[in-house]
Amino acid sequence: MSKRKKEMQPFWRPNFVNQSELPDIKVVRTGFIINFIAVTIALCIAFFLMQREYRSYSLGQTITTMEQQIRVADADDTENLKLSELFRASAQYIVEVENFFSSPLLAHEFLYDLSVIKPEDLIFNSISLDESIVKQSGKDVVIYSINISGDAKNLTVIEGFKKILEEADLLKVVGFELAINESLQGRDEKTGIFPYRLAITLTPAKEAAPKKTQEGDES
Amino acid sequence: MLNPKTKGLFVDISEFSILAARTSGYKIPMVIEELAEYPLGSEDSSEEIREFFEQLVDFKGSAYFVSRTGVYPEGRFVRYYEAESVNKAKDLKFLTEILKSEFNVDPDVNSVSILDARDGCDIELESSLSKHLVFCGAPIDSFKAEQNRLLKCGIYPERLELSTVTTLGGVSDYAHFNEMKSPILCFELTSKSANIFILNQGQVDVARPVPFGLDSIYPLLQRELGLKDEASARKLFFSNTFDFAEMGPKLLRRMTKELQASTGFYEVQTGLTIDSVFISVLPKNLGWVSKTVSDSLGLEIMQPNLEKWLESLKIKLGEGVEVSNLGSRWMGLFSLMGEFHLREEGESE
Repeated sequence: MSKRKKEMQPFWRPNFVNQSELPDIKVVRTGFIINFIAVTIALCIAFFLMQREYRSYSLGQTITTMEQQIRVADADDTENLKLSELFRASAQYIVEVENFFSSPLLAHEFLYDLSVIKPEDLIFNSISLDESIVKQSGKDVVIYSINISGDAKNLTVIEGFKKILEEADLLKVVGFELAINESLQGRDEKTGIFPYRLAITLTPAKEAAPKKTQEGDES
Repeated sequence: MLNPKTKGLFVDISEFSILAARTSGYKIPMVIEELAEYPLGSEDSSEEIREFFEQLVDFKGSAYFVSRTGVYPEGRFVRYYEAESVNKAKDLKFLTEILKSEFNVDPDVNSVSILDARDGCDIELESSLSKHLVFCGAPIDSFKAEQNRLLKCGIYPERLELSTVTTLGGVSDYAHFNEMKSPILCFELTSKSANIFILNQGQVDVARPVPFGLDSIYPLLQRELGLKDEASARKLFFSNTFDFAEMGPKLLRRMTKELQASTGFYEVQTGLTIDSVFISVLPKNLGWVSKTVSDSLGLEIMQPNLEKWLESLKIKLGEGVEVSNLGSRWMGLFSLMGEFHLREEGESE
């Protein structure tokens, strides 16, 4: 007799059987299925956890090995970086040397040739040879500038020297156009000589496209 | 053809006999295929009883056959109680006290069920609206002993019912079915005790125990016939060789006085007249007891028309099954099959 909700019985027929005292008479025992499922689930979970543990252990081992390799390789890497820096510096030096020799004007030869063709009444005070990079038609090109300054006895000597320079093989470089500009200063009244400045420019020649235009103009 | 359907086995075990029925199953509509009786003596072994059941149903090699059983455990009780109000009848603590104080039943050592005295349905304390209650049950150990006894005989009691109250339900349902308007006196007489019930239109109005039973008759019989001891008197009592018709009223005087007291009080109290008496359990050879009681009380013996009643419960009789000659002692067995709530539902519709 309890207040607990129980299974309703047919009218006038309460059931007094003591279920806990009755034997198990199931024809097909299903208890083992529940056990089997429970054990299988437990095994699956255990396997999954063990696999995860093993993977994390393996990853830990790999990380340790890699870190060791990194530590070992670090010293070699520093050595290699030093060598690489040295190589880069050497390479830059080589490039500079190569550029020097690939220049259309070789400084020492140019100076010698210039001294040969120099008229007697002309003095060189300074000669500079520069190369610079400028944009030409959207492209970077190298321009060679030679600046000669000095004194001349008279103007005809300068004119003559300019002509010599224009005709000299010295400044006829294949692929370059020559431009010579002179600038004169007033005659020094005391000495009677003319200070002058010659700006010689070698500019890379423009490509063939303009020729076609000239042909077109002529027609 | 193979018949895969599991057969039903209904068993009513009293101290006098085992009444059993094999049915087509447990769900109604069902067919009673065979009836069998095993008279119980003092020295019946479990093996012999199992053999009896094996002749009735096919165990198919199993140790047990599932059955629905009714028993008469020692110390059983069925008590009627009318509470002052519905609220009181819902109070478990109050009802527990009533059981202890008024009926001397300790709920700690007894299996107790509370039914609605009007229709026999299980009382749901929280939702019940009835103040007319029937307490029924028996000591837990008695039910346990009955259950173990059944298991020993290969009977697996899927249901273990108290035959006293199940039979009462059967009689109540029969009264509904037969539209019996007058109160019915129900009398259950066994060796150590007896129970008196008065049903009015299917509702329990009186339920009281008598603290003595057939055992109280043997000393009297011994004295009357000058027998050497009570055991001899008992043997003669059940032997079916002596005509007790003449001596009966004398032997049952004490019992009939109890019955007269109950019926007289009830009739005075209610103004109703009891017309018939229903006597259950008693074996066939004690038929004179029913006659003596009915004569002494001036009541008709209620002889239920079992076939029609069973038909109304959607229980059919199989080929060769005859119930017209069966006495009222079989009411307990058939009541185990009855789904009485269906009739109640039908009536309410």
